[in-house]
Amino acid sequence: MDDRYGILSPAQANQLPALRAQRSRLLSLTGEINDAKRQLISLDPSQFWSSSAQRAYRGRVDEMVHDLQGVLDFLVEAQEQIWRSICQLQAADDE
Amino acid sequence: MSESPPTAEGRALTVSVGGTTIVATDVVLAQAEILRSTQSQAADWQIRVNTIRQLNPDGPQKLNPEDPGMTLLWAWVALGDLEHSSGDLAASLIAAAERYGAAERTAMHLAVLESARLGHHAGQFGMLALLLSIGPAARGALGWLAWSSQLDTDSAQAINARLLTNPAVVVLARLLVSSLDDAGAGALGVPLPVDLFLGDTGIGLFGVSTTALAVLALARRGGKLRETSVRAAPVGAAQVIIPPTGAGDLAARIPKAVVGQPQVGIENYGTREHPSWAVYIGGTVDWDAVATTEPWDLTANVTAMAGQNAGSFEAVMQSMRSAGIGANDPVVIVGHSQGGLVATQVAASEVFAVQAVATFGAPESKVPVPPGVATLTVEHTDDVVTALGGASLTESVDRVTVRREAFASVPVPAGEALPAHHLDRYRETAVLIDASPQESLRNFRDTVAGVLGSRPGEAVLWRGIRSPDGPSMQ
Repeated sequence: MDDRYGILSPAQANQLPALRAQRSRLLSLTGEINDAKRQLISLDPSQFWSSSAQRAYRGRVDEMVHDLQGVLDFLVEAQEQIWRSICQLQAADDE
Repeated sequence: MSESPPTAEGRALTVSVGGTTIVATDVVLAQAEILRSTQSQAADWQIRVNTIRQLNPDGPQKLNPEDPGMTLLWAWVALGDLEHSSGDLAASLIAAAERYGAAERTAMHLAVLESARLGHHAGQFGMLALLLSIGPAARGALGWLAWSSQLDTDSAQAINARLLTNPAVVVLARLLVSSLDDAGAGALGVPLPVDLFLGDTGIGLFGVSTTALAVLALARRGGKLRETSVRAAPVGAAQVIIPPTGAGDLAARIPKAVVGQPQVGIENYGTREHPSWAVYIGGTVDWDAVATTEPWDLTANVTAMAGQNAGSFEAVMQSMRSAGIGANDPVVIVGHSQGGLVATQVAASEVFAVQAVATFGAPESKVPVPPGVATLTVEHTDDVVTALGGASLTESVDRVTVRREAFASVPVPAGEALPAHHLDRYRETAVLIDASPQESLRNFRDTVAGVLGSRPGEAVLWRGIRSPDGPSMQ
């Protein structure tokens, strides 16, 4: 085996940069979605409507915030999965 | 007096375009803009999540619970749902605001119709004289208020603060002015259906202009409201100036109504071969019913409302010709109060190639601006002067009407006659208009920028003067 890959196969060694690229992009995307979520939370319908229309609008915005949180949860989970893969590969390399 | 910043209510604009009215647009549209932005972001995020999935070393389709490809697939689906829901909510928000505006417009149409019926019945029952006396009396009262405010009397301040800066009073004044011609028709024995068909609620053959003509005929018998010839001349040297970039700049450059000062500003942009022009016209200076030397007076107000060429109109036309504005040179014309009415009349005359008209606090009028001319009409709902033209009920895809209650969130200042009509208040509203994301307002700004360009030009002030002893134009 080539020293360049330690005990990892060439295929496994190529996985590390790809996983790191994935994780980096996910981190950036998660940051942007968090910003958008904060902006949606700040929307205040009381500035122009009241009563039932206001509640209905607020409800729809809350649903969107909830959906965005769901997306964020998926992205965080994906980051953790990728991080575990990176750790496994690095541990194998260290051995 | 210390001024507190306006609240959201005080910043609320109502924008109408071609029969569609949107309420509280600056706030509603800002929120709709955020939702639209979320919609486009969600589409972009979907693409990026897909790209990240493709980077998976084991391939994007590995259906393993421990594989991020599967999790990212769920995120991709959720983002698709978000794209749809944010777009739907933005569209619903705009539609709801439009429906609210439509209800308000319908209410105004019905109110005008009802006031026409009442006016007609009042005329039939011999109350014409009383009603007709209210029109000139109201105008006289406004003149008195403007004059008396200079004396700083407590009574003028109190009446002005309590009555004349009140949206309900403005609506009533609008309905009253609109119904005066119906009262005349009733007194002359015109059947109600015919009156309604010919009047403001019908084809508009009769209306406020008919009332103004009647007022002129009566007043001129007594030597009042008589037009004279006018002449206009430049004042001072030309100044280098950069083109206006929006409603704020346009309003800021309108000359203030000050006795003895220039009433018109003319700016020249472009090149010698392809010039373009901006013309700014101030409001009423003299509220006396007898014309003296000031063309921006009560006589010109009533004459313009009657659809005739007022002294102020003649002074503007002379100034524009003398400044060198050619028949085909594109022009942006702007006015406050009477200046707005004159600006509309200049555009309607089609003597010059007016491309855009902006009026601030002008009495509503049925003056037909040619199709294709971008028109921005700005009215404060607590400015009674805008009601002196009645309810125009004009709808045009080229005309954008912006309404705002100037004193919705701040107290009416004491010692100022008709504060909601003041040019400074309209300048504040113009700044809010520039901050609005509303598409039709953006389009108007683009039209102005397209006509005047971005290169510096020259500005010259003009002053018109009546020649009381000269031949009358009437």
